[in-house]
Amino acid sequence: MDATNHCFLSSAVLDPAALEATLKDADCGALAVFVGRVRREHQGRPVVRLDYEAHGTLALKELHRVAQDARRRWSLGPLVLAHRVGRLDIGDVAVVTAVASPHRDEAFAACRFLIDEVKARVPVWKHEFYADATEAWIGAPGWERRTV
Amino acid sequence: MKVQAAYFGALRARLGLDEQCLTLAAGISAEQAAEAACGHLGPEWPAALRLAVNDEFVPGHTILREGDRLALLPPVSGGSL
Repeated sequence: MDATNHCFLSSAVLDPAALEATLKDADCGALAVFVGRVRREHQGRPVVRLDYEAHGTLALKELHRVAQDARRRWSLGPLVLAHRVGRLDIGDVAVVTAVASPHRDEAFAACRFLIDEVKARVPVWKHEFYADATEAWIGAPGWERRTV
Repeated sequence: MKVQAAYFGALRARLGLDEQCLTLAAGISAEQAAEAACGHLGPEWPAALRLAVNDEFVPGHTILREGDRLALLPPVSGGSL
């Protein structure tokens, strides 16, 4: 079984179908894919766009650690962890976590684990811009919308 | 000793700096250096940070050395909601 971890940050558009196509493995009957897209509102406020910033070196290392942590828990085939950086518009793909495995139990569980861990651990920061000309760095101490 | 501090996300925006050369006493820890760099923004700032030295996450009590690269990382907010 292929145990490739395809982990990367991208300033270019992420194509979930193309990434899914890289996960074919004859030993894997299951494939679970999570695609996260930019929503048009956050906590009831209209979002116009957002920027993702990353510590590139640390983010890549942590993506690989997340992948290895998943492999310690489940028997997995190839997997993809991909996160956008730079400017994104509403509807753009922000993150893809996808994993192949022999059976569906591992695929579902690992896919959920992968996106939850990516969100919790990988040094990426979201800067949102709202329709009322305010902006916010999500998660920062005392974060709140400020006038740009 | 001199340590190169790099700032990210909201901290970078608040300080208005991508990076800064800090002149610090020998034997200082990573969290003490973070306090020196951004404690003036309020105590919640250094307390909220994850720290990395030379591209590896470290606990705050890690002692810094001359020439170390210290990254000050705010709480992460990647992925999508």
